[in-house]
Amino acid sequence: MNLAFIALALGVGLWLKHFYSGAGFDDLRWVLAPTVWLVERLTGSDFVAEAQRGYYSAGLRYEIVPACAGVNFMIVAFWSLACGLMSTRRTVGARFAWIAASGFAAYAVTLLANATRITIAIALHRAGVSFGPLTPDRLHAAEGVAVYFLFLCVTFAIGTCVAGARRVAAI
Amino acid sequence: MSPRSDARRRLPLVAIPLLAYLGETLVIPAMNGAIARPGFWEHAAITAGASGTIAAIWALVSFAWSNPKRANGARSR
Repeated sequence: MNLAFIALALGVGLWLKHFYSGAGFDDLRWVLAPTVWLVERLTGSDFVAEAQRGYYSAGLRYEIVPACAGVNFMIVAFWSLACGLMSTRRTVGARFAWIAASGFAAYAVTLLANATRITIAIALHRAGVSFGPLTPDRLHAAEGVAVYFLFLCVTFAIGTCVAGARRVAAI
Repeated sequence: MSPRSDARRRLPLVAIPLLAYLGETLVIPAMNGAIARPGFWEHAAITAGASGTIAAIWALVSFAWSNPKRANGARSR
């Protein structure tokens, strides 16, 4: 029974990944628009939507495009919560509710994590920072992984507390 | 309790997000042919390096937080 719900969660994630692989700017406004709103609050700069392209800030000379949507992170967060902690739910209803709650949590955390990642990336871009082999492009990639993974760990730790899971995993 | 089930129960919680993250960002793209693209191995090194470093720090802090006596003992040795 537990495996069936884990398979369901994996299927939802794979469907979202398939959707994202063919999605354009307009298809991703549900995640890009609130992210950009948060980035505007954090940076104090305005972004303007450009048709079928992304959000552009002339002041920062920075563009937020569909590849920055963070949907892959959303899938990871959803899988971690839904699959990793499914064993803490005992009834069918509780398991469906856990999948739904994991989806909402993954969406909310994606907005926060992605806005944080983009805000730091803008600061690094403006400063033109690099450290030896860490060129600006590599630093941008490493910063993205670090921010996303840190948010993922915090999300999973909170999920563990909410689910009442033990400190050690039983998978 | 069998040794195998005991080993499973001792898996650090950070292993679950780490496996999910590496699976989604490296394993699935590699299975879809990204492994042949230029830049994949650099992407893989950055992804595994940054997430692995944070996972290791997280596991150490979790261990020290939940086992303060053992962590202090290990430090004094």
